[in-house]
Amino acid sequence: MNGEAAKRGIFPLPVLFFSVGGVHYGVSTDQVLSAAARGASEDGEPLWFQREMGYGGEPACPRPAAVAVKAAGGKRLTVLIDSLEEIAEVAPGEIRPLPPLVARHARRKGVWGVIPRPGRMCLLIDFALWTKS
Amino acid sequence: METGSEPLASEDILGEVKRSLRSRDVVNVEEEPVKLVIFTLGEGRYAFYGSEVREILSGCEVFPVPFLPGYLPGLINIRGDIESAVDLRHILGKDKTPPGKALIIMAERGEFKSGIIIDAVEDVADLPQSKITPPLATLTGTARDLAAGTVELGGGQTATLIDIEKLAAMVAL
Repeated sequence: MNGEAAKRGIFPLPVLFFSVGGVHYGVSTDQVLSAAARGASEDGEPLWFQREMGYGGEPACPRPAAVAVKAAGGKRLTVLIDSLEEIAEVAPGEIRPLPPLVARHARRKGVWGVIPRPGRMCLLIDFALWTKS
Repeated sequence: METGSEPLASEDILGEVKRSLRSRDVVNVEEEPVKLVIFTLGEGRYAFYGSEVREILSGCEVFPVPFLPGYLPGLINIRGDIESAVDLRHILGKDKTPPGKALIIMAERGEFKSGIIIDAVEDVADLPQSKITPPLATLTGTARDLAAGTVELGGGQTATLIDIEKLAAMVAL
């Protein structure tokens, strides 16, 4: 990432990390409206992240966490996930692009990059892109 | 001691050695050896051209990505670079490779670059081009679609030479 991004104030990027079905994800906190460790939702019918991302099978988490996010068009959307992990600032050098074979499938699910961490791989998701797709 | 013009036995031997070396040189010119990486998947034996193999990684963690097609189980981290992992076993119609750590061949040809999950490396060998023959008529299914030829390994054993370009075209669809 270049100095321009830093000047515009994108980095360090605050990211909310969460997990679903043993897979780790991260979303820019700019897109997060609220997060609740145990899935109470004020907004109509929440979406099961696991179901929408094509994991196969039905979500098995008995007490999911809920994250309210900004979807496409600024719409509020509540997504049920397995667990919230942490909020951390991410430097540009920590983010890697997806390899081409994966990128074209990933974009349809709003996934645009990856943060490699020891023993794990965090997929970065853009909920506006996800809901647009 | 005879001092006539008859050559010494050692000169005969050396002459024979030189002729042998020259004839070997001729064979080498005619039959440029081809480096092949021979590996197994289930009961099958396969090969890639060595020139298309960048490295072989054992115990490489494949991080699952749920929304990808079955032949793309996830991502691998190679010294900080993130690459895709292709499950060749799944492509060839065998059982999917179980999740977790895997033996991976990093293959590269043109714009295609990906890890390819295999069961075991059997050999890395330099073989004459003549050992590569057209694909066996008995080869069927996806293996036939991907085959660049059949490698004769000796002892009646063969390996199916996989064409990385065809594999790349298949997974890019």
